[in-house]
Amino acid sequence: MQDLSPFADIGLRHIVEDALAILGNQPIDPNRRAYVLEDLARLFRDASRGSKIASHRTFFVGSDDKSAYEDFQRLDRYLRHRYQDTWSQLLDDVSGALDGLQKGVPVSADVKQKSQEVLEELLTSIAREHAYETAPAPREIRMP
Amino acid sequence: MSIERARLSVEFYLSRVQAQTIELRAREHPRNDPSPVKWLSLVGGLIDTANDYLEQSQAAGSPPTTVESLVRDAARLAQFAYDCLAYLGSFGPDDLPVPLVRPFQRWFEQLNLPNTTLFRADQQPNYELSPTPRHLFDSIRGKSASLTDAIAAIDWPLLQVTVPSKALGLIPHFSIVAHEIGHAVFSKISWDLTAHNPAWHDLIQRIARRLGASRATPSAVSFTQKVFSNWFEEIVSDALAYLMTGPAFFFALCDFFQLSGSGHRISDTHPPPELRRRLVFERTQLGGPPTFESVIHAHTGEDLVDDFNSSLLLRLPSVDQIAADLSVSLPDQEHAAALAELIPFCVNIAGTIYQQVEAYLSSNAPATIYSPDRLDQDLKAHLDALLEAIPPIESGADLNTKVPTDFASILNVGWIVLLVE
Repeated sequence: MQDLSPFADIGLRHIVEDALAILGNQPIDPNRRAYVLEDLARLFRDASRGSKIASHRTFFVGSDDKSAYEDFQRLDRYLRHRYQDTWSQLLDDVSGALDGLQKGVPVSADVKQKSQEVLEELLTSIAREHAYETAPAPREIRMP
Repeated sequence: MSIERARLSVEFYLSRVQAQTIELRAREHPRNDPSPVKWLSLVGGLIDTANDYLEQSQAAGSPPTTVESLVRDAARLAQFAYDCLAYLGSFGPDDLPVPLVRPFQRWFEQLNLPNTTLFRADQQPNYELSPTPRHLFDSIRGKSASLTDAIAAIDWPLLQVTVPSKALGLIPHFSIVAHEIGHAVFSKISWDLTAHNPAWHDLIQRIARRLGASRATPSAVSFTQKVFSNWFEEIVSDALAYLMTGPAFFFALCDFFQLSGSGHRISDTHPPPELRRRLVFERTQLGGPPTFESVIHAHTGEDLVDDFNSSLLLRLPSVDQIAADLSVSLPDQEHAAALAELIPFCVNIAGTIYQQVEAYLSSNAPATIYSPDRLDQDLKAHLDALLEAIPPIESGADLNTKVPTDFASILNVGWIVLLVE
C-alpha cells in the first residue's frame, strides 16, 4: 500500500472514523456499518495473531501469518508509543467489541470505552504521521 | 471564503487528472488487453468520488468543519488518483515488449491464478509483482457508482507485474517474470517447515552469541523473523521460476544480477544475489539422470559452473567475515548478526523449499514443470535450426502435428545459443 501511494490510507481513516461513529451510536448506512465492523474487526484480529507470532520468537512462512504479522506491525507503529508493551492485549478487546457490534451481541460499556480510546488514538496517529510525512528527496546524481 | 478557493483548486486539479485519464483510456491498448482500462476505471472512480465530496461540501447549512473535511478528503483522493495514474507507468508497445505479455498471462492461467494482472514497464533495474488489495479502494467512504463498478470488474488482489523498460528489458531475462509469479503462488502452498524448528532456535542462539548475550532480545528476534519471512518468499519464488523455466532462469537471474548492481547486496528484503545463484545452481546438478548440467554438456560440450554467465558477481565471504563487515557498515549490530546468520540457515532450508514447491506444481500444474528431458528434446529440435536463424516457433514431427513452442522452451534454447554457440 505504501508503495502505491502515501494517500492510499484514506480508506483506513474512513473506516476508523466510521467505527467511532458506530461506537458513538451515530446513524450510519447499514451496508457501510457491516463493512466497517467486519473489516476493522478482521484487522485487529489478525494483528492480535501477529502479536502472538512476534512474541513466540518462532519463524513463520505462511502468507496468512506474514500478513497478520504486518498488520500487527502497522498498528504497533501507530499505537505502541501510547500503550507501550501492554497494548497488544487491547487488540483482542477492540476486535471483540467490533465483533460483538457486528453480531448484535451486547458489548460492555467498559470495553466500548476502551475501544473508542484505541480508535481515537489510531486516528490521531494516522493524522500525525501525515502531518510529518517527509517528502521524497529530489533525485540527484552525483559522480564520486 | 478561503475554503471556497481551496475547493475550486481541488476541482481544477481533479479536472486535470480526469482529462489525462480520459486521454489514456482512449488510447488503443495493445492486444486489446482490458487490464489498463480496468485500472483507469479505478482512477476515474476515485475522481468521481472526490467530485461527489466537493458537491456535498456545497450543501446548504453544512458546518464549516464538515465542509473542510470533505474538501480535504477530496484533495487526498485527487492525490491518490494521480498517484494511481503515475503507478500505471508505461504499458504501451514503446516500453513493454507486448508480444510477451500473452505468454506471461498464460503462466498465470496455467497456475490457476484468476487475478486481474496488469503488466507495465518502469525505468528501474527491477522486476516486481505487487498485489493491490481490494480494501484499499473498497474502504473509501461514499464511493461513487463508477468506483463501485470499477472495483467489481477486477479479480482481486490485482497483480501489477513490473519489468524494466527498454534498455534493461532484455527478452532473455524474462523468465524472471516467473519468479514474480512465484510471489502470487506463494500464498497457495501449505508450508511445513516444522523439521527446521530446532535449526531456527540454533539460529537465534547464534545471533545472541554474536551479540555477546545469553538470549536474543525481542527486537533481534523480530528483525530475524521479518527478514527470514522476506528471504523465504524470495527463495520460494526462485524455486518456482527454476522449476517452470529450468536453466533459462538460472542464466537470466545471474545475468540480471551482474548487470543491475554491484557488491554483496545483503538486505532485509532479499537474500544476497550470490546466495540465490548458489541455491539455483545446486539444483541444476541434482536429480537425474539426466540433469540440466548433463543435458547442456551433451549438446554443447560445456560444463555448467556456478558463474557460467555471471563472473562479475562477487562471491560471499565466510559468515564470520560477513558478520564482521556488516557490523562495521550497519548502525545496528543486531541487524548485522541476523543478516549474516540467516545465510547458512537459508542454505540448509532450501532443499525443503524446492521439494515443497515441486510437490505443489506436480499436484496442481504438472505441465508447467520444465524438466531436463524437455531441455534435451528442445535442444534436439531447435538448437541447430536456431543457429541457422530459424526461430523456435513451433514443435512437432510433421506439419500436421506441429504446435506452438512453449515459452520456456524458447527461452532455454535462446539462452544456450546466446551463451554457448
